[in-house]
Amino acid sequence: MMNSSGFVCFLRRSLLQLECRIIEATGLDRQFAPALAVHGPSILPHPHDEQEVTSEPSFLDNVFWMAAPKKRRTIEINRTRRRDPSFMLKVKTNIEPCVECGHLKQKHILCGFCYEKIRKETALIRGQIKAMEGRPLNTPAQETLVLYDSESPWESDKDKRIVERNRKRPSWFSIY
Amino acid sequence: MRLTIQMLISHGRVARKMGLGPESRINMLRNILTGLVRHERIETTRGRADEVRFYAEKLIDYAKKGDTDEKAMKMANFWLTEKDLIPKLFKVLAPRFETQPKAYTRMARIPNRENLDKAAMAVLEYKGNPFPPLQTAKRDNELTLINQLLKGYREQRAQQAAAKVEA
Repeated sequence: MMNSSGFVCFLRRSLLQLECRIIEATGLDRQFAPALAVHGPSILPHPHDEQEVTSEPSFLDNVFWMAAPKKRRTIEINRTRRRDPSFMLKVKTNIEPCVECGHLKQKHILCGFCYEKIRKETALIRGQIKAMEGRPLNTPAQETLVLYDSESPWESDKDKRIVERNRKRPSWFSIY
Repeated sequence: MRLTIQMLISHGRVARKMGLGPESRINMLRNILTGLVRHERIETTRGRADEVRFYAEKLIDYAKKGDTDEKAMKMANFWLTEKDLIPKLFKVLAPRFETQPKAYTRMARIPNRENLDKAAMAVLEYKGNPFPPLQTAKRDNELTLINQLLKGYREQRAQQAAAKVEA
């Protein structure tokens, strides 16, 4: 906190300087005196020697107005800031083992292992479908039914196209 | 239009921003919906799956009106970019959901994508698809640690009770 009197002095000095600069720029300080005047441009740099000595350095030259820490932050203070709970990793309580396979899963997300199994089988079924269709953009207007080894379609499945898979039916893919 | 603070807060706005703008969003959703109708089960990011769900169910509602209906055919023509799926929509999907009034799709969350982006993924499917089911009925597994310990405890108690009866 700088004291008010120092601030007032600084203000007065800066205003005076500003006034001098304005007068100089407008050209009001020049007396139109003859004889020893030199022919030259009006905006010649005037000798500022008297002024330079007395004036203080301007606002932007002075580093005293920058914010800087006053004291070293102690290790205790640093520790309390760094170990604040908002920055620490949160403990997840929603992890549980999958009922089917025993791998860990989050409660609201499907088990990764079980889903991977299903995805691979789906990809193989789709491969079969692609082979059956032949060319792309050839979907028939029929339901699809997937049958495994030694399985035959029911009466109600007459209109469906049958996709054969050469393996035993997996336990997790029940017919019903 | 008054430039109020209300304009910056999305009060009651249901549609997510996707892609490069509203038109791009509709185009993206159209592509995803076409894929869903073709494959009946797709994996996308969670936001996109959630957005497409609404459009997928509305498309089935339109398809239920029948393919003679002009509006329904126009909708199907717009939303399905691959035109061999239009007969499939009207002849396979619409009859499949005749008895059901509302919920034709199922969305489930999946572990994050393996890529660098680790995007939150979801699987979206039409019910009644021919593929293996995503969720089997929950049965308590006897092989978990807790269930094994409880089983051992029950056996121990049974043995103690039997020993008491004999003595």
